[in-house]
Amino acid sequence: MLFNSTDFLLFFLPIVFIVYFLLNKLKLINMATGWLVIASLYFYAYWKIDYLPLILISMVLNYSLGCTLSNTKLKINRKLVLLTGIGMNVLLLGYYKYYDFVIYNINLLFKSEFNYMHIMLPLGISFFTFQQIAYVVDSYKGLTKEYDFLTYSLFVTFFPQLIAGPIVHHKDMMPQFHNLRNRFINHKNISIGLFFLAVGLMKKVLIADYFSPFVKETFDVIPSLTFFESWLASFCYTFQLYFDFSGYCDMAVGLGYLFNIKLPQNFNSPYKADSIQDFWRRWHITLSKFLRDYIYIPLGGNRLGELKTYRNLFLTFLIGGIWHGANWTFIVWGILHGIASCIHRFYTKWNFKMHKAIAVFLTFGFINLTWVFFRSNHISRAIDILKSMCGLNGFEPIIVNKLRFAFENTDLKVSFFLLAGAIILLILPNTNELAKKIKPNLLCGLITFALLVMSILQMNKISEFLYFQF
Amino acid sequence: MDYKSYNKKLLFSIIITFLTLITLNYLVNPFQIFNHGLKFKRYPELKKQERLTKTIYLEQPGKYDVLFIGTSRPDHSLDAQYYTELSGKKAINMCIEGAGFYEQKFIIKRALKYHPEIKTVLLGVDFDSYYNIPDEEKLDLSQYNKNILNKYTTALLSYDATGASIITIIKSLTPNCQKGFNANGIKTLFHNDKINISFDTTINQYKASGIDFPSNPDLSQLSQFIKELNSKGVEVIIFMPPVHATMFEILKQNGAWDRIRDFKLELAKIQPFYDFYYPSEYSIETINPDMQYFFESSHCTYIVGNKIIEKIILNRGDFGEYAQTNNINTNHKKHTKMLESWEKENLPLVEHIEKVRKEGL
Repeated sequence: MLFNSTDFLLFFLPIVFIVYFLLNKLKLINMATGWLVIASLYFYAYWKIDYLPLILISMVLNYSLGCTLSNTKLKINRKLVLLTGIGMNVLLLGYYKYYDFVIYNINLLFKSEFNYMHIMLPLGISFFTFQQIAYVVDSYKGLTKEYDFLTYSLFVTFFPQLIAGPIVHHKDMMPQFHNLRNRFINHKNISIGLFFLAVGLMKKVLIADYFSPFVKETFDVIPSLTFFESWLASFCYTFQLYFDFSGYCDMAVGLGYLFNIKLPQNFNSPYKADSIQDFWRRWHITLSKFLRDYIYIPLGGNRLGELKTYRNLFLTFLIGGIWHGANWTFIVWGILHGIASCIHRFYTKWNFKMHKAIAVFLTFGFINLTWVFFRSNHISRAIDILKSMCGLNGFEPIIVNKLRFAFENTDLKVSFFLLAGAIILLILPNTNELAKKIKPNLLCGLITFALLVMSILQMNKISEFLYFQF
Repeated sequence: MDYKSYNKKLLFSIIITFLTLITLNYLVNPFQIFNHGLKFKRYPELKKQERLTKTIYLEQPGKYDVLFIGTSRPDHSLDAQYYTELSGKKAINMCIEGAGFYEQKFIIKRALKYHPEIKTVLLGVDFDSYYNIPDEEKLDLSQYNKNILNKYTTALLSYDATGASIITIIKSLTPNCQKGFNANGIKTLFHNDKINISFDTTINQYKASGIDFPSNPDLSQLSQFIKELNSKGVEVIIFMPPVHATMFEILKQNGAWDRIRDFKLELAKIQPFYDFYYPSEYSIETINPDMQYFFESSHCTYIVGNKIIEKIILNRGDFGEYAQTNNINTNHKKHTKMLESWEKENLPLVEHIEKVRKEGL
């Protein structure tokens, strides 16, 4: 089920909300938790019921492993159990996400003809696997408390964050689920939640979806782009990805608020970043934190000398790239970010400073270029687009019809949306900053009302969130 | 104001707004999905959301004998009511704008699923609809499978529905409204002051035609599908809907004129068909605000559509040729001369097309 569908907004959400708080009001706390778990599983299975057993089995196994690891009285080889747990999760992810990719490369390398499995990626697998790896690792470290299975299930399946994050941590979520004060309607949270939901919907439905056909056309269909077309395409994707994913996360945060659950902030005006390090503190923040805590630091972080710090940085970004998808384009994207992070670390050590505006400009330029790899279906396609961006495929003006914008003035519309996007991204405060200013007054009410109504009326187009594929 | 009353007011406003819009769209019924009897004088063109609204219409109870399938060309021109008047058979028009063959096939299967009583398919074949479309360019057909809840909320609670309702009301209240569509939502009302712009826009859209079309159209899937339908007792009547002479001129200037003949030959190998795709007396209509037969280069009006129906059902009139493999070459030569003669009489327009084709608008 999509957040930006009438099924979800007009039926699923109100029903789940009303029943949940009604059960809590009747002091049927466990039943309310169970209701939320069932609703979340329904939300998950609505898409494809075949993968429901997968998430259930994954939950049961990881919970059992966590309980085993956190029980210090058991005389077992805890390291072996931990490695089994991590291995099991990685294998699961590897099988569903990377099997065909591995076969493709083996066939390419050895000229063999192993068959592909054509496995459909289960929704949210990258997200719930990471969350559960964190839980197993923390159980080993003795950082988990004795959670009951029902609450653990809710931690994994809570529908606002189930499909595409934010990647939540058990230590942030479990106390909130256990806090009885959160079981009763909080009107302030509802106001904030509705505001987040409205802004998220607007970002997705009114902005990101506008760029979508143009990006698809330029990246997937038109064989060769000219200089201007390629730059326009890259900017459009840069904006589309941000508005799509941050829109989704805003909605997730908003939905969390409705249930008195504060989900972590995942974006903080990333295109205002003045360095690559700053960018990763602002973009997909929960993934960055996970990679830092469960990859970078276990590898040694910056504690093993300068050279190994560079190695660890690079490996962390490489793994981040691989996590995003089974394609060399993601690996190259990860490598580029890894190299950039190493370079950044190198020059900050030498106290090299540049003007903030130049730093923001250069960082944005780099991010924009690397998104070309991220979006392209193949390395060769990315290189071709980059060549176009360097002017190697000509400087002809944009031909509107060629880009399948059948109607006149569409180039003006693209320019308008790009400009509007740039203003929102670079000048206006982000959703979190705005949400802090929410007051129960006419202005806030009108803004929330207008955004919700405008977005819902526009929801008849079919569009999925970009991060569902990761 | 405290948060509680703020939320109450906000949610109340949203609910009231949505209920108002749903009621408005239900009563005005701009897509003519609901049978509540309330009728307006004018309806807007039924092109927005047609994949959704026509599906809803198709899935409602009813008995049909004939199914019209094709793109917007037969959609604008073929009047199911007129077909019924002439033949006594009930027809349903499921032609969809820009529908490639993969989509038309899907609609036919769906129509036969809901109405197995359909025994005839009237298939409008466009010269530009039968080339292999890469998967990434194909339309996502899942929108036909939206659940019922989603379909109705979309039809009643969307910009498109609300916009169409407002246009319906405005046009119906405007005395002597000269622009718009009449009661069945398809038949164009005439007198269009901006007719030149409409023609230019279409010419501009199709200016690359001929470069995009492959020299060997893939009609094998059509052939196979017709056999499949025939085996189920469904007869398929094929026709090529007309376009305006300006469209033929674009094709000619793009070097695709003779490909039309090749395409027709391939089509005739599958089965003979009714050919209206040539510079006929209707296609050469002069572009002017009072045009009766065409409202832009690519689309004719229901007057021409009625002539098509008359030809197919009653074999009446000179318009249309029954194309078979043995007469296509001769006919094409005749059509070439007709186009050349039109060119001579419309030199400024020919030059204008060449200019638009090369430079755009």
